[in-house]
Amino acid sequence: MTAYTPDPTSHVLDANLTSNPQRMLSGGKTSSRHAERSYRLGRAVSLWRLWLLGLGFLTLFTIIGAKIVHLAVLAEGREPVPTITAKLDTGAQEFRRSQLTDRNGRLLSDNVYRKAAYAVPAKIVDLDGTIDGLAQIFPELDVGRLRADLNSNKNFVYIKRRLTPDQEAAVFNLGEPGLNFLEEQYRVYPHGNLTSHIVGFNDIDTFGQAGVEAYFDETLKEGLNPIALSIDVRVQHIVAEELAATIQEFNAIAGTAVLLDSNTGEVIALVSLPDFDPYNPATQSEAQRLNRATYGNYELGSVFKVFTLASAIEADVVRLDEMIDVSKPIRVGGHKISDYKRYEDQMNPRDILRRSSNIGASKLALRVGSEAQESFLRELRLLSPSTLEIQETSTPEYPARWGKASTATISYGYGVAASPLQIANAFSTMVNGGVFRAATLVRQPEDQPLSPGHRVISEQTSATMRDMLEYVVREGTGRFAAAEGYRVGGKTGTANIARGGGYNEDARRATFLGAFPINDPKYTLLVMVENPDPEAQEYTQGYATGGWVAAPAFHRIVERAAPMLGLEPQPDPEDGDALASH
Amino acid sequence: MIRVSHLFWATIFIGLVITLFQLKISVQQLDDERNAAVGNINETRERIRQLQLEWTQLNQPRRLTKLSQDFLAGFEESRAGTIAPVDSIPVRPDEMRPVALLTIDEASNAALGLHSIEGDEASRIGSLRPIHAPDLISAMINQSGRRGGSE
Repeated sequence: MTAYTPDPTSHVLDANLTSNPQRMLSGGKTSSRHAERSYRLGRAVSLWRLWLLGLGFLTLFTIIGAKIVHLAVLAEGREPVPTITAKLDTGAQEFRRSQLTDRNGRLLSDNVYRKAAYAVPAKIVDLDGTIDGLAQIFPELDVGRLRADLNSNKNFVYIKRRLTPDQEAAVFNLGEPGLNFLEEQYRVYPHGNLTSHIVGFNDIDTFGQAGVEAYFDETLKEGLNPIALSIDVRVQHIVAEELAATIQEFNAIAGTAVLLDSNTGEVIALVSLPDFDPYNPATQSEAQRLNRATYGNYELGSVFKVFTLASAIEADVVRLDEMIDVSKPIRVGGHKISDYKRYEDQMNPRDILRRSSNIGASKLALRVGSEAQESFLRELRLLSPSTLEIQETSTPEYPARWGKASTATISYGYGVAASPLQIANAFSTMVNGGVFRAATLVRQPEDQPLSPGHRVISEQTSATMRDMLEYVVREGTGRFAAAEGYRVGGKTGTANIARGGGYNEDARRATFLGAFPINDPKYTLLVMVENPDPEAQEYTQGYATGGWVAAPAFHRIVERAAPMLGLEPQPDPEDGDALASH
Repeated sequence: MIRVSHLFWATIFIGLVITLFQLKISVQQLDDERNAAVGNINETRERIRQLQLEWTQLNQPRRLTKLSQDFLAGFEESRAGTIAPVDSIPVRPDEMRPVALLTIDEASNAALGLHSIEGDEASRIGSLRPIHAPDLISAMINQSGRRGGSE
């Protein structure tokens, strides 16, 4: 047994333990076995307590120190934001759908922020009061459903989106901590119905559902620069106004008009009436939502004779001075082909176009042949889907078996049904020097050369066609298309509307398709009116043809739009001192 | 020695902690300033977009047409007859050319070689002498030519 050597302070502890002050002072020199054991036990307990206390303080200071380091060095140092709100708010800020503008930078659609009210059911203090209050602010709310939602385990419930400032204030004034707001984007279309068939619309989460909004959805979602479309809102307004006036004048059911840049293929205006409200697309009828210009497939009748004549001249199967017998109807594959009205017995190609002779056109098409005709129309992209940058495009319809009968009927516009936009696009090729460039809704840079496109007819044939088309307006069926101040060329078309296996003789589409200024075409314009009433206006003497219905709208549009498009008025080719006359 | 080194490292450590703390605070302040600036920019952009929208809304062609019809009689839409190339505007005949009214004394007139209008009209105007604008321009050209030549 080793001798015990007390340390200098042990007597204090020992004295504490025994509560003997005398011993404390004496230096603990009184020793006995019992006292020594007692002393050792007491000392061990004291040491253990000291360690425990030290450990406690150490832990406490470690925690405090760690928290200080965390706050000072690592933490954000800001008030924490509730997770759900932070997530939603960040989402709204990060994603901003791009703007759509017209060719002059005028806004066509953009996103604005609007508040949405939502609830966090777990935080709602006064459930009944909240439901009553919300029901008063939003009478259209389904109270039963709202109660079920607020009683559920959900941690997020939409109350109402796109709040007005008044509604927002009213919800705020309920003073309910479980109700909150977040900012959401909302797509606006400042021109409303005027551009609805082009721009389209978005769903409530601003994802494109129709039109350009749907076609460019991914690009718009990237939120980069605005997309500049090729349309000109001012001209769009003129076209829409004149088309609406014509539809009303002739008690028609619908109509469409397309104005293209003849050379670049840019769509300057595209109108389909009736149109729809892009803010409430679901409540609009099918007729309103149908984009007739790009999605409707129509047989447009005699405007196809332009392609027939061009293909015949290009294929060199007819001389311009050749006289063709049109005195009697002809029969092709069981079809009897006759003219609307009988004029001369023999006509040259110019007069076939001017008089719009079905017999003459059929004869020329038969000379060209079925294969060459099909190939020609294929080159003009009249037999393939449109590549226009819009959701609503159609695939043309044409006969599966392209026999002689089809060749003859297609020559004057029955048998191939395509969208008015595609037909206008093909017509541009006839007058622009012979090069096809696909129609586009995206503005083309002016400082860059034209896309090469592909040549369909020679420049010479195109010049001949321009001359013939001006002749149609000067002395033919398109007289009412003549515009004051601008030389115009074009072709009328009147087609009965298909019904069942045949055609309804009492329902028709009246069309005028032309270009201006025809000596150096800059723009192509198609006006089509569906089912005009021949008795609507006395002055038409019972006619509701393209020449009587669509041609006047054409000239009114040209007279109003051409100065706006920067076209200088032209002198009359036959009287240089005067402007081209109406 | 050990105690000195402890003191040294402790000082370094405390110094580092203080520096780090100050750095963090200053970074936070800068971050706040940056966020505020970004917020202002976004707010301004948002305002601009809203104004653009309002401007577009106010400039709807249909609305402008109606306003023009209601309040701007005689300012209808341009038609072919109201537009002409600049070249087609005829030059005014000499006697209808505008004149410039100048206060030029006779001596200067003589020096410039100007031909001033004399007579009743000139005396009525007083010191203001009406001068044919083309004459004035040619005189000025001549004068600058003479100056150039003398130098």
